[in-house]
Amino acid sequence: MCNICGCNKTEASAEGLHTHAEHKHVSPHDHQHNDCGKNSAERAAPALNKSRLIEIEQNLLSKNNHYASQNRQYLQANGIFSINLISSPGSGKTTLLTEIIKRLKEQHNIYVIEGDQQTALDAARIKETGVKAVQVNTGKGCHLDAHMVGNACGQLDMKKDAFLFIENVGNLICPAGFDLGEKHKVVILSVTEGEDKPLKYPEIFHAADLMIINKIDLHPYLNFDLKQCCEYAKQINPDIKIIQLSAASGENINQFSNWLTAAKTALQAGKNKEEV
Amino acid sequence: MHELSIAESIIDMIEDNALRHNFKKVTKITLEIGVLAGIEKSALFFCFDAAAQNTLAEGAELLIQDKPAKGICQNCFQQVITSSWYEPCRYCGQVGIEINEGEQMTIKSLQVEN
Ligand SMILES: Nc1nc2c(ncn2[C@@H]2O[C@H](COP(=O)(O)OP(=O)(O)O)[C@@H](O)[C@H]2O)c(=O)[nH]1
Ligand SMILES: [Mg+2]
Ligand SMILES: [Zn+2]
Repeated sequence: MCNICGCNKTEASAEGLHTHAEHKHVSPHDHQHNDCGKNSAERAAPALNKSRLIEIEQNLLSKNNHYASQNRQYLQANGIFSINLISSPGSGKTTLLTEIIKRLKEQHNIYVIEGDQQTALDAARIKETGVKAVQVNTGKGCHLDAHMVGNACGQLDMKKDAFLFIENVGNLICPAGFDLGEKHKVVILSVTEGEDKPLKYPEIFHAADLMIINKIDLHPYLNFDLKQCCEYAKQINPDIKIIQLSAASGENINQFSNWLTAAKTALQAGKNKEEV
Repeated sequence: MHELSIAESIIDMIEDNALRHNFKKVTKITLEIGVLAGIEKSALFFCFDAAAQNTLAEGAELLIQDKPAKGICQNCFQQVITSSWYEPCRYCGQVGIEINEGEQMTIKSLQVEN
């Protein structure tokens, strides 16, 4: 079988168009493809304009998933611990990242990929903290995909055993289905949004390992029901961890930095075990 | 909306298949979409028509089959078919079904012409 086109060598060459003796693949696709149909019945009856049914069974996300597993392999091989931060616009992703970076940057190498539809403003906010950041503009796209993240990783040229923080485009819906190759998805909800968000956007709460409830400094002024919110999230995802904090006042931020460093240590311990 | 990028990946995959299977036109695409995949069908129809313009799938019919979601009830441990992320178990009435199927999006088949 030809690895490039998937055709069957003997059958195809019997028809004369696909001589595999001189099948060199110098340029990736230099041979004729007139009869590369996988199904030999298709080749046997190449009736013109005849309608036929091809069963393909292909996952629509296979391309993205392929890039995601490449990213995951790369990150794992280099001991890089990555999170994919997902929230509605304005929940405080960039603010939380800058605060967390200030607390961790002395002990750790940190890199950031910033996703927004337009502008490099958030990457600029991150760079002010002194760490390396790449802005990815998705244009009309509503989420980062694994291919964009792979390219951004290339630009970052990361040191081993670092943190990689990926801030997704502000959107609770679309990023949920697109694996980037990250270790954990982290969803952020702020108390200025509704406590019923986990029920309204269940997919992302199901996919995330950690939910952060941000802006708790504002909680005294609002009717946000924290307990109810946590219950809803646990209903969707019984294993989800929850941290309530304020990126602005700093309250409980250490819980998040502890979670990050513990998860990174666990990842690296697992990796060292594999190597021994 | 990510229906647009889904529509674009349908076109990409059709173009890959056109090389493999040697066809010039697609007249019908059958998809199977899990009810928890988060796809708004009307948005996907709309985006697909736009994305298909000037491609070999222009004017093709898009057929979407729903695939039910499945999971295991964490209370009674029965396999349950469900249609949302937090429906109560149909056997014991408790919430807490661990979903393990229902987010897939698959191209099942293509009706093509040479
Ligand atoms: N009161 C309060 N405001 C916050 C907090 N975190 C972020 N903000 C504000 O919320 C707004 C949006 O924050 P930003 O980090 O840009 O959100 P992003 O769109 O998720 O990146 C900014 O005005 C922040 O100053 C917080 O914990 N408390
Ligand atoms: Mg931001
Ligand atoms: Zn049950």
